[in-house]
Formats: sequence, structure tokens, C-alpha cells
Amino acid sequence: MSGQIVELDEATLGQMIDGELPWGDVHHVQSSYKDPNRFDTYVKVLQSRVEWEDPIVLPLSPYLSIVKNSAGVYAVKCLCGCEFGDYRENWKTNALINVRDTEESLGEIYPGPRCPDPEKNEIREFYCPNCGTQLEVDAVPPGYPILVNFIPDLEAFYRDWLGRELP
Amino acid sequence: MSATRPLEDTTVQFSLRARMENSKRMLESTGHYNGVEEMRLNEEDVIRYELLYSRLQSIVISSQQVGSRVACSPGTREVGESVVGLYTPEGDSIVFSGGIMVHVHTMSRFIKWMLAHDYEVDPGFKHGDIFENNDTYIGGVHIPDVMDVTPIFWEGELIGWAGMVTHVLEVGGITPGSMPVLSSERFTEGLIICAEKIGENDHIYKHYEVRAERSVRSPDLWILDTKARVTGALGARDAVLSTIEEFGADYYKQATDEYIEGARRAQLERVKTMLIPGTYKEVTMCDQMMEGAPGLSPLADGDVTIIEPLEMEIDGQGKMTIDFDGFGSWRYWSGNGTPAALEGGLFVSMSQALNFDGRINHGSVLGCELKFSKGTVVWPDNKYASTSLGWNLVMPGWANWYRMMARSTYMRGFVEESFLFGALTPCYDAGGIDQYGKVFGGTNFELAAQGSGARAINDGIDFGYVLWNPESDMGNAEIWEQLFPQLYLSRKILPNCHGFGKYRGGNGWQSCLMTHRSNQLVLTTELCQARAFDHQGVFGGYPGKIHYVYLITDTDIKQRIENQDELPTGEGDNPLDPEITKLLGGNCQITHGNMTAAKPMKEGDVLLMQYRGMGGFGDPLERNPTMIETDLENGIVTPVMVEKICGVVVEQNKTGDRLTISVDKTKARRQSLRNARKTKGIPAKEWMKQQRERIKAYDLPDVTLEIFKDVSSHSRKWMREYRAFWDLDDSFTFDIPSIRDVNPFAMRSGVSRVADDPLEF
Repeated sequence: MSGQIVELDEATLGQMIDGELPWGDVHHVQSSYKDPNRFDTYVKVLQSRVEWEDPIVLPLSPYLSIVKNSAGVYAVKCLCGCEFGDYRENWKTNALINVRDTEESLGEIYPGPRCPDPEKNEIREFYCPNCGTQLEVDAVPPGYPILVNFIPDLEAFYRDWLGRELP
Repeated sequence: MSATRPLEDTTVQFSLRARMENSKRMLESTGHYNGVEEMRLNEEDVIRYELLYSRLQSIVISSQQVGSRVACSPGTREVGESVVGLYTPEGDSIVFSGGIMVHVHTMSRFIKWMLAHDYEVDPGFKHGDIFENNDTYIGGVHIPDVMDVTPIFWEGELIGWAGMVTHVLEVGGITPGSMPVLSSERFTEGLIICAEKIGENDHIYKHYEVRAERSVRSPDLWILDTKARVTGALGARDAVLSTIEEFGADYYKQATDEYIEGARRAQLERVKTMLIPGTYKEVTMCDQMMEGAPGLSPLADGDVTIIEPLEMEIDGQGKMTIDFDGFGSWRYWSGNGTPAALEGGLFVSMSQALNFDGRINHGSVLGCELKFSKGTVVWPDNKYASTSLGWNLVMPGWANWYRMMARSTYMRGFVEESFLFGALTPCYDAGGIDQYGKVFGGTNFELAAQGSGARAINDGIDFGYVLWNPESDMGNAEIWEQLFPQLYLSRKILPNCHGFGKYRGGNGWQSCLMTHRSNQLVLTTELCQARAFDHQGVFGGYPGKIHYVYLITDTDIKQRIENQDELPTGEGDNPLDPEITKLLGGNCQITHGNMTAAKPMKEGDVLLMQYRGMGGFGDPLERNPTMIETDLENGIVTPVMVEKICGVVVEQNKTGDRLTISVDKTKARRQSLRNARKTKGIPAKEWMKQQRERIKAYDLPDVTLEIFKDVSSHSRKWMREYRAFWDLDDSFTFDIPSIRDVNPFAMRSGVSRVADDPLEF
């Protein structure tokens, strides 16, 4: 019912993350007030799914999270365990990159008239060097810096918003 | 425009203008809207407080519905291209209906502009006055969005405004329709009403109608839309007055201030509940290729490519600072924007991404700060620069924000809200002589139903989303056949036009239209990107495809109809060998992006129009094979493309009537593709070293060098970050003579700032 906070347990949230919660249930959650504890439940679900021990500080994507690693560094880490360095650096610079910058390579995704102009933009695919997952795709002009999509303010998030110190 | 009187003038000292400026000071000094520190009415009796809000919300919704029924335009009647809003005396929005919500803010800009320019003194405000505007520099996105407001007086005191906006389908511009793409200066945009009093005593002046009859191609569309808007605004005003009788004027005034302050507080709390603080950066592009197009002004920039970088900082208080620094110069083209347009874009975006409880109003945007650099395409220092296609700029700009929101909600764990929304929404305008022998013009608003971006837990919305009107509707084909001399041969799914991903973007579609009973049909397309991406996918998903249309003239379609041969219905499964050109003889032209047909279309000529799909979410190799089977069955994807991009193995089932995915073979193929990535990908740091040398030698395409020279001339920050990323020393510059300056006349202010002073516009 709308107008209430819906708190999801770990199993139900896990189903929703996997796209397996029936759409009517999802809609119910969407129409309700947001659960202030969602983040903690979310991290628990994600932590239970990885094989490594480093605590997740902030999930960044379906594949990457900021963790506190064994050296005490807040580092970006893939589901497979591969690390991409300090979260304040751009993790993409430690990934593999495949650039589609010709009509031929762009045409594999966008055939014929669907192809963008390689003089105006190129597709940059970033892969995990360990598991080969395609972590991000950016479409930018040639010569454009690698996008730093996001640098979190972890201190403000934990201290001011969650009301506790960083893990 | 006469000079603005100084505030010291006693005539205006206690005026609405003074009140507007005082309200701003109160916010700065107290941190609260109009100094409302205590939500007194809310705390005293929340039921009564909410009852009034519900009453006001009902008023704007019913006024929108009643007003829309007065119009004859299918855009207003069928597709819902309208909005009604209520405002405080100083022009701050309180509550509004559904529809084109971007204009809740642009209408606010319009009211504030009148106050700042002392309309209270001349022409004055009184009960029954009707004021109209579609001048985008005063408040708007582009001129078809015409807005009418009327003051609400209670016992002689102006206590608010009621207004309605509609998108008019024909505006009398250089080419027919509502968004003349050839317009490079405002003088060719069409009929512009600049904050004008168009009626009094609840009556529209006769001379207003005379002017419309003689200035636009389909005056019925314009005039009945005006009557619709006036009906909506006056109806809302009267209903508000009845409500005030019940609640009392003092209660109304205090409650409306509290609604705005409540929305401000809710905005900050919502950000803190749903998002992650930090710095977000994205970039999209916008381009057109119209060099040499017939009818272009000698001043015009035919080919334009711009980048739209966006940066957002969310601070510890939950405040969003959204910075448009890094946009290039305004141009002599139709795609310039204004701060009002970009701020309106924030309004409609927030109403979908964050503030979806029906309580968004001026207070919500007080929790945000938008910054622009004067002289750029988002704030031209030449107010004659055309904004006919202002949305061409606004949509890719906000597509950046949607990627930020998709990222932020996902990180916070609200995966059900992680959504890429949309970007450009191609359409076509038509005009000339219609099937009844009359001069006509109009926009086919079936564009109001395209594919959305993907969601984090599901595919995007197919054929049913546009970012500028969340109540998406393409309208019935028959209603457009009444308006245009065209018959539909089909409306049909356009395969593979979404961005691929674990969850794909919403898919687009195509209309195949034959010119019928006219030999003088002028066609243009608008709101299209040409060959640059106006949006992105996220987390490994790809953007949707590039947009184009087919124009086929001197066809043999009459012969085919007489012979009862198969008729074309679309592009087919393979864009390299399109079905339409196999089934239809004639001269075929494929055009990318905004275009104008060189000659009028004739009886039997065919337009194959495409509507967009949007970006995907996640690695396509993770897409569930069952979802791909469903897509194959529905014609949304083809085997060739899903085998290549999603790594599946498609097979016929045993009875040969259905395509299925072999799960085992797919698993093996996907692993092999993942391994192949590790071979073909190179370490990004190595690639950066190679690129650095290339950049130092200016070994980049001319179009890119021109963009970088232009952007760096407007933004010192952008150039500083560029040098830092590529490890270039301070002497490196794009400001060298061999690179063309795309607009030597634009102001270069070098920094971005807030642009909320109406006197600057």
C-alpha cells in the first residue's frame, strides 16, 4: 500500500536486484515511501554474494564496489576480486580498453546507416582484465579525457547521511 | 522595452516586484522560502492543510482537461501537450497538473519577467486580464510552447496567478510546423508573442485573433489552442477563488508558502535518502548536418556539432549544484537554449526521477543550483539567436543527468528507481497544401511515444516514453491522417534500434507514410541527432542507434497498389539491404538528423520515419536468453545482432516455427567472447600514452579540434581539467590559428554562474 515505508528483507531485495520480483510487487515498492535502511540491507545482500572478505563500503555498479581492502585502502573491486586502485582515482585507467573508432568497428554494433561518425565520436569499452566483464561503455569525441563518472564523498555519506563513521 | 524603474520610485516601492526581490532576500537570509521557518498550518491541522492541497491539485487537473477539450489540435486534445499551474503573486509555482511539466518553470520565468519589467505599472494588472508569452528568452524552450496567465485577485489584492501552456502545432515560421529547423535567427521562428496583454475582462482581443489568422498557416490550431489555454487559466482562477471563500485568504496565502517551503525541505531529504553525495560528470553530444540545405540563411551554421558536458555536485546538505560549464558557443542554428529552458528541463526531470509524489513545485528547485556560462549555446548573449529547436539542446543535456541518477540510485540500493529515461525525440513537421486544398502546417505528434532508456531491473519502456511528457501517447493514426495529406502504410516495430545491454533500452518504431491528395507537401525533421550520440548506456550497456529517415520520391506505389503487389511497411530486418527500397521503386534518399526535403513531396512519395530506442544497462553478455527469445518472437531484435552483441546461439525449434536460444552453446560462446575481450582490450594507461602524443600533435579530426577550441575558450575549468588528464603542460592550447573559431562573436565569460535575474533577459 502506498503511503507507507516498505522495508524489504534480504531475500526479497535480492530477488528485485536480480529482476525476479514480480512487477506488481516492484510497483508497490516504487509507490511507497523509501526505506531509510535500504542501503544497509543492500550491502548485506551484495556482501553475501561475493567470495572475498573485504567489506563493501559503497556499491558502484552491478560489477564494481568500493571496499576497504586488507591494506586499509578504500579501493574499487570487481565481483571477480580484481582491484582497480584507490576510489579517488579513475578505476577505468586500470581497466582494459577497446576503442571502436572506425566505421568497421562501430558498424559491428551499428550497421550501415546506423553507424555514428567516427570523426565525431568513438565508443570506449572498458573490460575487467581478470573476468572480461564489460564494466562500462562511454561514447565520447576522439581526444576526450576518459570520463570520471563519479567520485563519492564517502565522509559526508557515512557521517552526515548515515550517521556513523566510515567502516 | 522601456527602461526599468528604480525600486526607489514610490510607485513601485511596495509592488510585486519588490515582493519578488524580498522573497529572494528572505531565502538567502533565513534559508527558508519567504522566511517560513515553522510549518504552522501543517502542524496545527494536517487534514485541513492536505485538504486544501488536494483541492488545488484537483483544480489544475480538471482545468487542464476542460481547457484541452476546447482545442482542435490533436497535440492538445489527444496527446496531452499541455499543463496548468498555480503561482504565488511573485510567480513561484505551487501546484500543477500532469502534462508538459517543463513549463511550470518557464511560466514562472514569464511572470517574474513581467514583474521585473514593471508590468504592474504599465499595462497594469486587473481581474480578467490575459497575458501571453512564447518568447523563450523571457521564459520558454521554443516558441510553439505558448503560455497564458491571468492574475487572481481577492478583494482587490493580487494573491496569485493561474496559467496554462500548450504546444501549438503550427507557428508561422520559415518552414511549416512548430519547430522550423531552418531558423537560425528569431526572425524566422514564427509568430512571437513577447509577454503581451492579449485580452481583458476574460475576453481575448479581436486584433489578437486577426493577427493569428494572418500570421500562421493553420490559424484554427493556433486560435483554438489560445482559447483552450485561456479556458484552462480562467477556470483554474475561478475555482481557486471559490476555494478561498471556503478556506479564507489568509489561510490560502500561508498554506501556499508552506507548500513551497515543504517541497524545498522534502527535496533535500529525498536526495539524502535516495542518492549518494559526491561529484558526477557525464558528456553527450548534439549535431546536425544541414550545410547547403535550401533556404538556410547566409548567416547560418549548417553543420553543427557540440558537446554537452554536465557536472553535478551533491553536497552533505543534499543540495545539487548542476553546472553547464563546458558547453560551446551559441550558433546561428535553431538549436540554441536558454537558462529558462534548462531549468525547465530540471523540473520535468525531477518530477520523474526524484519528486514523483505529486508535490513538486518551486520549493523543489530551491534545493538545487544551476550554473551557465553566458555566450554559450545554453545562454546566448545574442537574444536573436534562434531557439526554434531548443529541445535539441535540452534533451541531450539532461540525458547526462539521467545517467547520473541511474548511477546514484543504483549505488544507494534503490534499484527499482534506477532508470536511464530518455534523450532526443525525433519528429517531422509538414505543411504546404493539404488534402482539402488548403494551406496548412503542423507537427505530427506521434513522436510523443518512443523508447525509454533501460532500467536496472528491467528493459526500458517500448514505444511509450518521451522525457518531456511523462503521459506519453502517440495518438491514433487516423487523427494524423485527418491533419496531414498522408496515409499510413504502417506503424511498425523498428528492430534493434535500442541500446543493447543486460537490460536493453526501450525499443523504437517506424511510420511509413504515403503522400496522398497533395503535390505540395513540405517536409522537415526535427529533434534528431545526426551522427553523434545524444545519450549513453550505463554499466556496460550501449547507446541506441543513430537516427535517420528515408525519403522516396517518384515512386511506383500507385502501380503496386493497382497490381495488388506487396507494399512496403518499413526498413525490414537488415539496414544494409532495406526492405523499403526492395519493394518500392523511385529515388531514395537517407538523411541523418534534422533535415528539410529539397522539394515538396508529391502524391505517392513516401516518408519512412523512425522513432528512437534508448540506452542499455549492464553487459549485454549477461542478458537472460529467455528475454532474448521473447524479443525475437516480437520482432524487437534479429538473430544476427543478438548473436553478435549478446553472444547467444539462436536456433530453430524442432517444428521450425520458432527461434530459440541454445543455453549450453550460449554459455560456451559467452565465455569465449569474455576471453576475447581480454585479448583485444589494451591496458587503458598504455592507450592514454598513445593518445597523449596524438593530442600534442593535434592529430584529431577537424570537427573535434573545433569543439575543443570553442569549449576551452568558454571554460577555463574545462581546459584545466583537460590538461591535467592528459598530463599536458600549461602551454598546451587549442587556441591556435589553424583551428577554426566556430563563433568569433560569442561572449567569452570563462566561468559559469546562476542566471536568475529577469533583467538579464
